[in-house]
Amino acid sequence: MSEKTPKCDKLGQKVVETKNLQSGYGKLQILFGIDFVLEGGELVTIIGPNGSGKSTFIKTVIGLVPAWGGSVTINDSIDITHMKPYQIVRSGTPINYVPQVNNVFPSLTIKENLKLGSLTRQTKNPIEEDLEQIYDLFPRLKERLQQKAALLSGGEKQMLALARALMSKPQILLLDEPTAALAPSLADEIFTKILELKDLGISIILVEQRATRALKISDRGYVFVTGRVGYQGTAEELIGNEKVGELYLGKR
Amino acid sequence: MSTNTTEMNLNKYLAKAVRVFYLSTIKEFTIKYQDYLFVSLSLILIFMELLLKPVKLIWDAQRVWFYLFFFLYFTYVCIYFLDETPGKQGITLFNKTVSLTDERNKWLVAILSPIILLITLVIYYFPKIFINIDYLDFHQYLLILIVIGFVLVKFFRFADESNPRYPDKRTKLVMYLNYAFYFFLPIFLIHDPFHGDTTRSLFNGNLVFETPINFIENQILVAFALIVLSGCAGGDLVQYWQKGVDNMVKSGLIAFVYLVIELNQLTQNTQTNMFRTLEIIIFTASTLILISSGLTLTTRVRKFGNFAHAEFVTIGLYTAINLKTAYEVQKLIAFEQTGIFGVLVFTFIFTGFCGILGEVLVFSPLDRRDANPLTLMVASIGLGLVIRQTIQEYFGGGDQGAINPKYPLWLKDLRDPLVINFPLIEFSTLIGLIIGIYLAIKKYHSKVNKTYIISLCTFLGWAIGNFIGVLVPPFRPTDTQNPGTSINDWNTQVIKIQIGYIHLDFLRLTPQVIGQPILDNVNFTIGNLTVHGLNISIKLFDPVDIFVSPDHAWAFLIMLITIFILRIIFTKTVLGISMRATADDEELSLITGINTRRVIYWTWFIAAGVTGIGALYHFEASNVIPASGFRVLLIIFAVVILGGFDSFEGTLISAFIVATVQSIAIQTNDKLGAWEKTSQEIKDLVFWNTRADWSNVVPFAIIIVVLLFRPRGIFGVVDPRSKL
Repeated sequence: MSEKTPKCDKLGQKVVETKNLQSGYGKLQILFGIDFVLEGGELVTIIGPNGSGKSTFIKTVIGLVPAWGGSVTINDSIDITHMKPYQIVRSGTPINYVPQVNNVFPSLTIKENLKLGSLTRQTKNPIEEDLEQIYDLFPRLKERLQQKAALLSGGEKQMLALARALMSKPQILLLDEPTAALAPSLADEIFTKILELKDLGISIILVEQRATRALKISDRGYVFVTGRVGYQGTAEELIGNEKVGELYLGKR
Repeated sequence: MSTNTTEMNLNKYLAKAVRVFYLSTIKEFTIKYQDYLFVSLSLILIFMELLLKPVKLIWDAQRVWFYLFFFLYFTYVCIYFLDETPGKQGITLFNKTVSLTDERNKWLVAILSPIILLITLVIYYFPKIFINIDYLDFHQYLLILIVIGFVLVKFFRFADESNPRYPDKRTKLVMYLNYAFYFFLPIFLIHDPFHGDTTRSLFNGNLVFETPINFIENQILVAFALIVLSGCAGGDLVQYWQKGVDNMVKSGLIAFVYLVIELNQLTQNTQTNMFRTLEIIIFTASTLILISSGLTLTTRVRKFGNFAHAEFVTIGLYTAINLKTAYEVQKLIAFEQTGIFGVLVFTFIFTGFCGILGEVLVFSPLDRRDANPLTLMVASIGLGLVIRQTIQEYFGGGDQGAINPKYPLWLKDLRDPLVINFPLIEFSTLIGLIIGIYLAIKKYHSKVNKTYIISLCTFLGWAIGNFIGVLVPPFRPTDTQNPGTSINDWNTQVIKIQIGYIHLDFLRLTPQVIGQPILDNVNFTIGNLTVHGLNISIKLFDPVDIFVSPDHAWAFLIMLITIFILRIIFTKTVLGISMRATADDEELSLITGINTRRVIYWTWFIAAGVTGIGALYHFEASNVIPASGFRVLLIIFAVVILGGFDSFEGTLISAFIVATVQSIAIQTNDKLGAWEKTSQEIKDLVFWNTRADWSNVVPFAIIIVVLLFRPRGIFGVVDPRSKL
């Protein structure tokens, strides 16, 4: 939807690619072969009904859930299929993941939360410079730096989670329902922030339940149906697609 | 008869003065002119003291203490009040705002405050020391007036609805409790709290009236005030914990003043026993903190209660003892001199690696197979049994002896006049003062500590000086063996120190002159000031002998150092923050890039290592057997559960609670036993079984009661995510 910004240096490259990705929990298979591509500078939304494997897919990509088959590569070449999460985020390609719930460390202060975000970054410049940038982006956090994160409201926690992910200077960001359980106005705010992140040149995978809203700000979209890719295409196509609309966008 | 009329008139005038003062403290006036009011009242106070003295001298040393602390508190209260206007950036003095953000002013305030205090004291006591004039209670009225004035100021200020700082009802309630305290303060002041049951006339020193409050009632009032105060502190703690700490410091200060006052009422023996008990409580709490904070740490990160923790205690003990034996057999280095440091370091590392080994061999594999916390707990019981049995097989079940002393003996040479004669006490007092002033300046802008920390810095120096005096015994153990008190044979070596005097020994600060000390023939005494050559001593109150064991002092020091280091690790280093992050959420830590496995290994290493060191200090003279650790396991769990199972701060506080309760239990047991011995009737003789060990039972009873009110322990929150 929005123009690709020249800021991203990996335009057109396949920054995340999965081929026939399968995984599950215990003996229960959730993903039955997903083929997925995220190109540099893109914002791609994954929608789908509950239980269709959206979150599992992201967790498999980042390594929290072991892959049963298929492959995950980042930056066209690096195979991360069987790496551990902390190895993936430290692998040299800045990639970060913001979970749906429990995405901040509640007993740490906000500043410590942000400090932990900078653990994996590759650049050597001092943390303080980046903190300033973060404060510009999220002014609400600056006032409460020494507070424990448990005391933040839901929306503020989401912002802190985003801010912590940004501290690692990611090129790829995986967002799992950042607007879950938030008031509509707060959700708008989060979506605005996500667009701002995209303008910084970050490639983003967004999993969302607010399908229409999410698709409106995305470049492309995937629709998952019971662990398989049901539909895919540009955001306009998906919004226009009657079947998708009937099933997941609430159109009749 | 005529004198009586004069006195009655005088009392009438006083009553009138009180009324006038009350009237004068109307809202705007008081707030606007509070500084002038304060200064003029203080000046009146001082002049009254100077001018209206009858000639009879009763020099009471304890008054120095009382007024020292009173003025300290008072200085604090004044600046605190002046600083409290909302939205103000500094202190307003005489309608001029002194900005505290200005670096120069900050230093000025930090340094001036103690100096002002000192000058006040000098002005106040100068006539008493050098001119024989009597002391009179008239000033007490003025003190009361000033305090009431400030209560009113405070009342009006916070009754003000537009004040944005205290908007809700609950806070207001706390504030009213505070007023109650300020209101009660004068009652203590009107009564001469030392021994004066009487108030004397202004002019001729005759008796005016008997103070209506007798000794016992006074104590009740003090107790009530302290309860009110702690109520304020507790109430505040919920919402404004800075204010709570504030109030706790206040109550601590006042409690200490009364403790000092009380001392004179007790017999020498009771005083000594009291300090001995206090010392034992502090020692027990210190070692309990050392051996239980490791369990808190592992519980927080690994989410299960580790019963094998007891075995870290045993491993620490056995490592240290065997190392000591190795030292002695190999004659590598004299153990008594510096060996203990090596033992400490090696014990830490070895026990730490044992902790890691437990995780690698038992808990980690279980975790990979999706074990739940209960499984891990039962596994830890098993692991503990295996370790205990292994130790028993290898070393046998006998007593292993002990490590004594727990500090290097060469330190004693520092204070031996025949060896080095370094002015250690004076030096450390100086260091303490510097630290105090540094803290005062550093903490000045924090909300927790305001002005009183500046005033307290002087006392910090004094305390540090005395503490080092205990850490480094003033004599060699071979010279004198000073037996302990009759309470308990806690330790073989105990130092007797006498408090009640401040000694300034200039001889030790100057290069030593062989032979005749300088000015040795100068000997005189004025009041409580004794000068003997370059030796100057000031008597503060009747001297009390207290017995302190250096081993206990060292345990306390080691505890302080450990807590300090752990605190730095937890808050400043990436490892510590990662540890807390892993404790919060392991999955999230993984995707943040933390190698949680490594963090968990570090956690075990630190937890077990600290426990190993603590074990060395927890166990006194002997009784090191394979089950030593297991015997203290229950009390460790008691401390940890009471503290909230995963809260480090809670562990610190609950260790002190458990230690106090234990000590009281032992003492009560002794008392009841003694009472039984002196009983005449048969039915009394089976009343109490003195052989019973209540020291492990009573803490648990207390814990049950506490847990009834706070089911998650003192500081515990079941899940940091739950919003409660």
